[in-house]
Amino acid sequence: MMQALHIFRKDLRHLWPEFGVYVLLLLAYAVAAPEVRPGSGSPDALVLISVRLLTYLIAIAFFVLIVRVIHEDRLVGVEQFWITRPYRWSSLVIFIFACVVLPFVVMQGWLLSQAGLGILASPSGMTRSLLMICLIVWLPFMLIAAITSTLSEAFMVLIGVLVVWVSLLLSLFRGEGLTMSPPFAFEVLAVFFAALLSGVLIYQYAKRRTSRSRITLAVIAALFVLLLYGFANAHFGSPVRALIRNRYPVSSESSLRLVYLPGSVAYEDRNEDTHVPRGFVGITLPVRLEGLPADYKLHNTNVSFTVDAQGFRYVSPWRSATVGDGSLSFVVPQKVFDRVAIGDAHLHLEFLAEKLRPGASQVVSASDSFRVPGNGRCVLNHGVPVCQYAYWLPVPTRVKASDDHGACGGSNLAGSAYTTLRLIPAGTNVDPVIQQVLHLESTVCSGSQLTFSEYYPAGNFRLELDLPSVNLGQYKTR
Amino acid sequence: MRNSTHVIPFRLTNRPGIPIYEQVVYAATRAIVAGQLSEGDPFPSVRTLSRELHINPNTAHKVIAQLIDDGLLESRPGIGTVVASFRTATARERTELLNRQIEELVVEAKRLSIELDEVTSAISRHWKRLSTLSQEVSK
Amino acid sequence: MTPQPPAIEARQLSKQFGAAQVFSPLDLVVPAGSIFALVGHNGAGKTTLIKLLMNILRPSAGAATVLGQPTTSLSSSAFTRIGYVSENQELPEWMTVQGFLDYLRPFYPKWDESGLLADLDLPPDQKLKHLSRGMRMKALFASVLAFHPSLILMDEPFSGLDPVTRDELIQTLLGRMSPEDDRLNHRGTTILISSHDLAEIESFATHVAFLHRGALLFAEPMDTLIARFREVTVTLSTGETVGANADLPADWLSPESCGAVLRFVHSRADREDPEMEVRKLLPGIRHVESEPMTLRTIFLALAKANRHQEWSRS
Repeated sequence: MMQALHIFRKDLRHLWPEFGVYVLLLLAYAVAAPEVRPGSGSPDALVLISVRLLTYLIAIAFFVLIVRVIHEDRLVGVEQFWITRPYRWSSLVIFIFACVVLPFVVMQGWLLSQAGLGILASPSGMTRSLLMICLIVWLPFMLIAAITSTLSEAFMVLIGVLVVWVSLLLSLFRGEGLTMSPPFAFEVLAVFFAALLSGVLIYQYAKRRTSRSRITLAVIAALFVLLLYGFANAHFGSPVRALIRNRYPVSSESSLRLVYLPGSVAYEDRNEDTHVPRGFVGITLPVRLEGLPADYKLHNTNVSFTVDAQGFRYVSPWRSATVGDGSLSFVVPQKVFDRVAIGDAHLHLEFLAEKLRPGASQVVSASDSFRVPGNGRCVLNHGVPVCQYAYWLPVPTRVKASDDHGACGGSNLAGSAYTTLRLIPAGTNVDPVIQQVLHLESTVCSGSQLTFSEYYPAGNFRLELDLPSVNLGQYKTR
Repeated sequence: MRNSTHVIPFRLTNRPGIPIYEQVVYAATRAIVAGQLSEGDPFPSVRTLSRELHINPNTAHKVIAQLIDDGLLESRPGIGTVVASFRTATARERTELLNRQIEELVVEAKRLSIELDEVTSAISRHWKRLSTLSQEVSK
Repeated sequence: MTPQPPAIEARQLSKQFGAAQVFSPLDLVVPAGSIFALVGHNGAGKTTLIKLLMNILRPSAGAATVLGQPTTSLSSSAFTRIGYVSENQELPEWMTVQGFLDYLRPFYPKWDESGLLADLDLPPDQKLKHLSRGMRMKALFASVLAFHPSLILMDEPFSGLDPVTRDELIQTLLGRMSPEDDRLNHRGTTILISSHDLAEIESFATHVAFLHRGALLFAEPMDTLIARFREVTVTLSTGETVGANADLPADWLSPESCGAVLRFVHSRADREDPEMEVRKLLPGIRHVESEPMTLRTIFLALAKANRHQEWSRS
């Protein structure tokens, strides 16, 4: 332990310029970030660009610090003086924790308390965010450092990885964002890859077999790409579909069903502004979901279908779908559409979703600065509430405004706004404060009553619909 | 002039083929017999011998052990190794120190086919010359 | 004195880089307390051998133990007793000499740097990157001698150094090896040193091993080596010659004749008096001279002899 601290002190003494720059970047970010949150007023374009630049610079600072500290006593090569000395590697963990993680967490804590949220407003959110950053940013950086010998070499590897990743995203993973992942896929994969990567890191430190480690990492990266590609294109077919079906059982309620209303789709239901990825075609079917209680909401709506036409059969993976009042929209690959839209096709549709039912409601009196459920805090910005949460808002919440007391002296229209479902950050957000503007139709003043309703999961269900003969061409969203 | 404790009070010419140990013993014996070291003078320690002559410590230790064995050095507690009190070496014993040189001279003479009386008269000539030289110097 | 296990033991150790075999399987025993000189031409495999023993490289075949531990599993605690000195080692250039020593101290249970910097004439506040080659080697020496290792492996520590520096290094090394008092050091430090500086190491090495083109030609105590090599000059009687195809014994290395003189290097002069042997084998001898050889001349003769062997084979 003492030796580890001793090495840590040496690293700090040698790397204090890099560390100083990192701290300055964090300070600059802490000062500038609140200005560019949505709803904080229109910031200067320069400030916007600066904050964006700062996030990239902070990422680069992570990289430089981690690579430099690992290269202090680097693993690649045979002439390093420590190879024939009794060394302790726990110092590395101490340094990365004390000089990379801790300042970052302190900055985030400061931003949270400055927003009035309190540092421990959301321990689960903070843990999740830090683990994500660790898996996506810090651990790969450590691995790159462990298999290279100079900072420029490490940069080359990083740039190479990014270039490959971006080109893969553009070429192979079109439409991947829409594909549904099997339940707990994210958690399982995260643990799996975290274990693999940590394993390689520990192996490289124990054995210093650089070429083996490099090959292993390349294989793991290829495996990762293959997995994503497989999911995106449903190459894992049956087991994934079986898992998904298992989690979304066929509904036992007879009232829930899909009804096909032949004819064209009502104009307002055509999702013409929904983004359709390249290589896909958007389809909006006049299908209505009946039997869902009026105040229930749907989440995670996905569709999988089998289409047969002229001897051609296509089975789609589970993909995201949009449910309207009398419409159901989803995407079809261009090539498939061209084959089946010519004439009539047999379409067998499966639909799944999670039901959300309204739960506890809380009425909050608006004021200049007021607390709201979900550990949030809102301020009134010219009659519009702007709310801040720490890291995420896991529970979907619906906000309704009522102006019974006429405090605003305006009309008594009761409007409603829906805060975004599950504000789970990608894990790499530098700013821990999630800020949202509540777009209510009426202005809100001090004293207005706002009702916050939380929605809770009310079960998963799956429905089927069979259309023996349908011309998909007429339902293409223009 | 530095008065150093690390001075080795004898000269060592590094001759090939003869074990270092023998050479050091020889040089030390010669120095003691020739009077360069007197009775009671401190003899360099194992460490000093090793350092200054570039020999490994075990060899240095063997040298001192041999010299103690031969009666030339003795170990005094608290002081270290010092030159022992010894009776003056007999003429014959001292001549034995020159064994190697004499043998070389004989071998060379035989090689060049020089007779014994030629050699002895040459020796006398050189002896006389060097004696007169030293006499002139001391005048 | 109970016999100590050898400091280093290698069994059928070999190393290959791809298709190139650096040295063929070799067996080596380095006795505890010895100063073992490893001699050989450039590229003979000395550096690779030392790196294998320190677990800097992994063997392709065979195994070795160092201070009783297998080299492939040398642990942190083993390194508290083993020191490694090599001119190619990378040091933290930004540290000062004293800073470097202070940095290393907590890693070792025994640390005694008193007098080392003074002995070696090292400036404590000079950064390592500003040191000359000789000073750097001295700093490295200091960092290894300070923790009193039981075994020191040195890879050409004197190469490219001026005589003064060399002298200081050897003196400090030998000075640190022996105890203050004159007791025979049973737990003497073992030193394995590879060097081209044959004249220097001849005086203090106890054993010598000769590595040639990846093969270990011999490994024996210095005394026996010096004793068995003799440079023999034979003057033949007038009219006698030694034929070019004369069948001379194999341990008469590189025989050369010019007129009435035959010269060769006798590599087994300990078995029989060279003079007797010559008189028995050759006719008409006028006289035989047999001179002992320095380590350097032995090395040169062996290298030449091996080269002749390879030429005659091909």
